[in-house]
Amino acid sequence: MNYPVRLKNIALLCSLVLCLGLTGCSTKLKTDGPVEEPLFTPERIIDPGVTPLSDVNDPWEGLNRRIYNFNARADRWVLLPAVRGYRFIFPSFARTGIRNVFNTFRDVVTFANQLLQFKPKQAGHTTVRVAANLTFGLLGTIDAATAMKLPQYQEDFGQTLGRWGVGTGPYVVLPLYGPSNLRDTVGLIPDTLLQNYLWDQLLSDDDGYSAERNAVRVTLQTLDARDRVAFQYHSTTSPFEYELVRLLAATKRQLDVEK
Amino acid sequence: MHRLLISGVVAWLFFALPAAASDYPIVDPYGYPVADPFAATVVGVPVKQLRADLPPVKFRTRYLPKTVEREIPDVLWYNRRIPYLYAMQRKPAPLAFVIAGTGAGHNSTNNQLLMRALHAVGYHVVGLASPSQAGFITAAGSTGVPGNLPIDAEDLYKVMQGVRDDLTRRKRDRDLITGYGLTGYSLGAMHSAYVAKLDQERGDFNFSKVMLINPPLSLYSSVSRLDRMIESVPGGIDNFPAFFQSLVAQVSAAYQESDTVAFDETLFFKAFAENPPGPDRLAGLIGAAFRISASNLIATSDIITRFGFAIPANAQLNRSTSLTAFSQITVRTGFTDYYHEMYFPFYQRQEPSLTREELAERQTLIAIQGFLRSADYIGVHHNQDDVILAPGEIEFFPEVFGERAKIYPRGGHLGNISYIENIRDFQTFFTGVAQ
Repeated sequence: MNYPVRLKNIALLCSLVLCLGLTGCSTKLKTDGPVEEPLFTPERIIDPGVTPLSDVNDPWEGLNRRIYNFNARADRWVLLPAVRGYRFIFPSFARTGIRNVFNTFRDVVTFANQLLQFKPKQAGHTTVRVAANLTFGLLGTIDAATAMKLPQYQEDFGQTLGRWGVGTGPYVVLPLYGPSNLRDTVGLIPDTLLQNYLWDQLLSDDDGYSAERNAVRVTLQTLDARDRVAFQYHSTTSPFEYELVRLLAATKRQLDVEK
Repeated sequence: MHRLLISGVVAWLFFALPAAASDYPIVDPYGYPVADPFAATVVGVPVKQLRADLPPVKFRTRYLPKTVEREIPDVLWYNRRIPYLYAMQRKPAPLAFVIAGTGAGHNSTNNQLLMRALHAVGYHVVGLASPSQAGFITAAGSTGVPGNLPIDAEDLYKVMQGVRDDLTRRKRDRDLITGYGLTGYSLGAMHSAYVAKLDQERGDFNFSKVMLINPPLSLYSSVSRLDRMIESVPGGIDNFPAFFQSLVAQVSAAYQESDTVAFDETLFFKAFAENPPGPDRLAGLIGAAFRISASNLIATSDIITRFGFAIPANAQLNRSTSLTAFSQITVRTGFTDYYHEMYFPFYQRQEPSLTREELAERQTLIAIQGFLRSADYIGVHHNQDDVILAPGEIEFFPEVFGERAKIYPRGGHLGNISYIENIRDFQTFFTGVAQ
């Protein structure tokens, strides 16, 4: 569920999340009249001292749930139809080529973060990887590095912050992008800045920056990002899908940072 | 030393034979390699070469409008329609329905496996969700309280009629379907038996072949066995949260972007297939997997019927209401609590003289054994060591189905479903010609 987001959007989202989170939607249970006690209550079923199952910090849950549902709709009505069009227009090998190019740019971001996390050996691997893909891999369209058994890492600034000891902060569901947390949302800013800078270098010519070319890039990058992810909102049909995704996403990020 | 140990274990896995000698023929020599039934249930077929090699099929999804009268609660807004998975042949052919197991959806891994197997031998195929799945309960469960097999069968029947009409809605497709088959695994197998019985009265489909794969004999007996497996978590039930958290960590670590998230047993089993936990944790893992299915079922049912099981009956749930507290409760209650505290009281309200035992006895294959004995188009594939059966329950199948029962010596619960020989036998049953 990781879509590239332009910096402007991120800033907008951050302020939106913060503003609405404070005033936001209440998650408190409303009842008609006084609460009718159900058969099984937490007091009856959960012994004191037993840790609850999911303890993901989610103070903005009401807003997060609304955005989760918004994302589900946006996915169904906009993104997935667009991805179907993308798959129809580009044959499989073309999509793989596009994916490899974006991966090469991702690798540069990874490289920067590996340096910031003092992982010189892994940063070395990534350097060779990028070099191999840009040369043997015909400017990144072929993943020659994987064929050469070079490991591929994924590091972002959120992980770097985590490595430096910054806590995750509250769980956040970002519009269109999906599950994240406050730290990783902040981390998107430098990563996006770096990627945009690289793309601007590549896409600019004598006439300077080309908004059209960049729009094509962002569109392709978004389509590719969605194309990679098999997850479909509400395909579990469970009332607890939000909880499941939150638990899996938070655990996954924790493991990513520990790696 | 290590290598020696490993080859020793492998040899043991391959050559271990079931201890019990039976009165009826069991299929052996049988090449399915996993001897421990709990490990088999989690691992499945561990070696790719032993898995049936089926041609890929391009499945599509279509949706039917809900078949229930009630308004769908806002908090379950995404379950307004009934999805089904299908793939047609290019020419007229019989159509086979596949019914998913406990908590599983229309596109569950095992549904797709059975659909590919049937499509390969010339059937149109349709995959349906289990009546115990949250989506089905919401949009197609007439009472909202699943597990009452005759009622579940009626609900399924309605959906199957809807699917048939939907697939033949265009004039040129009218003659596309030449007959019907039916199959299901686990709880879906039990549902298949009840749907077949219903069809004998109604006659809409006149199934020519019905195959039950690893059905429970008694629903109550099987779910209480699954419920109890959780007790074998190391450290006991109080250690369940920590145990569950460790399972989630494994699932997260194994998660790839190219994976879907299914809220049934495949969520856990897939993450552990390559790297199963030690024997002391296996039963706990299986128990936990079914606990999450139970929690989805119970909560959905509670929301729809406003029963007041874990959610206050007068709660006003909307799209931003936190359900986390309810998930914590319902993952701790199991199928047995559901049975005694919600399911039984609900059905007793409609039939005051009903007793617990009576209701439980109705949810068995024993209750319809007369039909199963006489219906020569129904077969069953089961495993001698299936972990959802109580000791001795397996005897029912060869006794009632006679030659139409095939009992494999091992495989646990569905562990061998994708094994070459099982798929071949399955296809042979549906074509009548050895594959």
